[in-house]
Amino acid sequence: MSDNVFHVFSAVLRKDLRRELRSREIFISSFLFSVILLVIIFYASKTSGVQLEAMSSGALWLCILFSGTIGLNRSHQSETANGCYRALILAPVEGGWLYLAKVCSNALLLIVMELLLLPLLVLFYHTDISKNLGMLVTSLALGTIAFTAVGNLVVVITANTRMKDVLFPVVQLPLMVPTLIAAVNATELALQGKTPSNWLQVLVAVNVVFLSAGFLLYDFLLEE
Amino acid sequence: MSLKDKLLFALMFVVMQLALVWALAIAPPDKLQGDVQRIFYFHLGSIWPGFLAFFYVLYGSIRYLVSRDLIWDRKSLVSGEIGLVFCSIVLTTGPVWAKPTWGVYWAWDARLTSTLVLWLVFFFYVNLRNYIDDESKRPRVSAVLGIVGALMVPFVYMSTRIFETQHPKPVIMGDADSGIRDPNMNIALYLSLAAFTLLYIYLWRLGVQQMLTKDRLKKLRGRLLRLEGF
Amino acid sequence: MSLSIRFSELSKQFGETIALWRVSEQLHPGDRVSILGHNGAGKSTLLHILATLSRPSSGDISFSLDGETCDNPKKLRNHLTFLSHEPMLYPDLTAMENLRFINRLYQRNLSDAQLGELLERVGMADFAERLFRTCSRGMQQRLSLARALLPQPKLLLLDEPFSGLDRGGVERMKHLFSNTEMSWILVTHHLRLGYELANRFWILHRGRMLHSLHKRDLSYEAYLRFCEGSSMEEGA
Repeated sequence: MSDNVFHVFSAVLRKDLRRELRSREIFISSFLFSVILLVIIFYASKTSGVQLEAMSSGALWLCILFSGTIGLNRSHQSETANGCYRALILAPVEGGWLYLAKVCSNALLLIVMELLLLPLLVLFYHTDISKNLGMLVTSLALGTIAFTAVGNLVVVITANTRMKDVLFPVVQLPLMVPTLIAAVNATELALQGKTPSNWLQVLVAVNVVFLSAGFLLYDFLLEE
Repeated sequence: MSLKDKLLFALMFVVMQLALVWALAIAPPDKLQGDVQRIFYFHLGSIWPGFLAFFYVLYGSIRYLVSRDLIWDRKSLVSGEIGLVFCSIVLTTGPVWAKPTWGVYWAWDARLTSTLVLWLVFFFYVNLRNYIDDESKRPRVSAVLGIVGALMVPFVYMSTRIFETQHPKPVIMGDADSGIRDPNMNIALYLSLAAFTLLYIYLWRLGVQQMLTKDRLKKLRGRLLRLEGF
Repeated sequence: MSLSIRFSELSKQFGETIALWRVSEQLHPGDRVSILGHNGAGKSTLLHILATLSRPSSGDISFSLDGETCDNPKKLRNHLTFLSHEPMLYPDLTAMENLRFINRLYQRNLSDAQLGELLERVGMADFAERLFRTCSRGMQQRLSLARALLPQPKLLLLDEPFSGLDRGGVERMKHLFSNTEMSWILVTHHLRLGYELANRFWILHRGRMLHSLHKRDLSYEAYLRFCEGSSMEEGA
């Protein structure tokens, strides 16, 4: 059984990464969108007199939230485009492992994008990211996994509706509130060189609850 | 209407009148806020069935996915609809109370933010099904959303609470419900909690019956159409 | 290993629309069935239920593997594959990569050489490294056939598999379907092809099973009369 599970997980993960490496469509669109957002956020909040560095955690997470939403949507669209999703449904695999593989591939893509955004943050917002780099990366990773864990469920839920492209971000964002609050604050504290243990606990809890819920619930979404 | 419903209605009616009398007449006005504070009995009275409704959505959705019995979908849907109404009451009475007390209609208080998110989650749970054309998918997809939404709510409360304890509070946000001293205030509060809970149960029973009747009507209409068609 | 299906009183409703109404039949190992009927007769709905893709609103369906009842869809899906006009393959992967993915998903452990042979069988051996996106419609359909054959299913469910194929492709597919041990169920509008290939016919009309016929006692002309009874027209 464990061999079986590993096969499915790695097959889907490898397929997703290979497809993305070849087309780069999700990565390029999300990354460029994030860069534009960083510029917009600066001009939108400049007049409020907030210090540049103090904005960086919020700006970074806005980028992750919005471009991540675009990315998840795109990733699911490429799955449904040729009816490929139906092939996955019809394969003799456990939905739960399919879900985990999808979360994993989407989270990996987002984390790579975040690592590329960090230098831009240093450049644009004069952020010092070196104070507690380990905690910073931990906060980003935990927040991103929580984001994709919930997002991958919501994207399939809304894919069943007739207004999927509109409904996905709208339904998704309220559910992201706790993740966002925890991730922004954890990142903020990490940037100040502190250890955000409170917030990391919340993020770990969100991850545990939603990864298990997704693992159990995904099979129910894989019916026509 | 069954005898059970009639008794429930009678009980609800009596408790509601008592709650009104206690909340508006017998309980003394708040020392600081005056009569405005009386809205609190309705405000808190509505959030409680809101929570109850939400837990029921979680429970009913799980029951539906396990049994695939449509009755559980109807039960959770009705609960979600009523929860949405109660949440809306909380969100409207809140600002009415907040303006004279805090000086603003809205403050980013943990309870306010959480209730707003709760309202949104309820709203999508109740309305998403209208956008699903395939009727056989509707209950299943809604149930999954109901579970995901319900699981998120505790985290909303947790994160907004931690956020508040770590950030300085604005001066206008004194703790409003710390003023309960008088026993009559307590009685009024418990009475209104009981009244709203009974209202929730009564409305829920009515709603489920209505939903089942609607389903039956639809089925009969389909059968009639087939009789005419073939 | 053999797969047989028995279903009774199968109904499927989408809201107030009835797609299938109390359909009962059996499928034995080696059966080759053509499902015929006009648009909206419930052909695809029936196929989707048999593919474990959707659940019937009411009625019973039981699958048995080697005579033993099996109600675990995961286990069943190992033995049945689905081929429709949708290719179900990834545009940004090559033909070979797509097949390797399916190979892993079904855990068939076929070597690249064996996958190459499979491509040969559908006439796509020269295009193994070609991106699926750049293949023509007919080539995509051939690859899709390779995808459906890869897991060596006991039952193949075919929903208009000939769409987009040229004459050579149709001939090749015909050859494959008539020289195989596995059972298949075909939904098509090609009345002629449906007659030539199958040994049983299920004729659906407005969600009901109008006729269930065997080929042995049925001439093409008689078959056409049955089909006309369900107000169908001869396909292209």
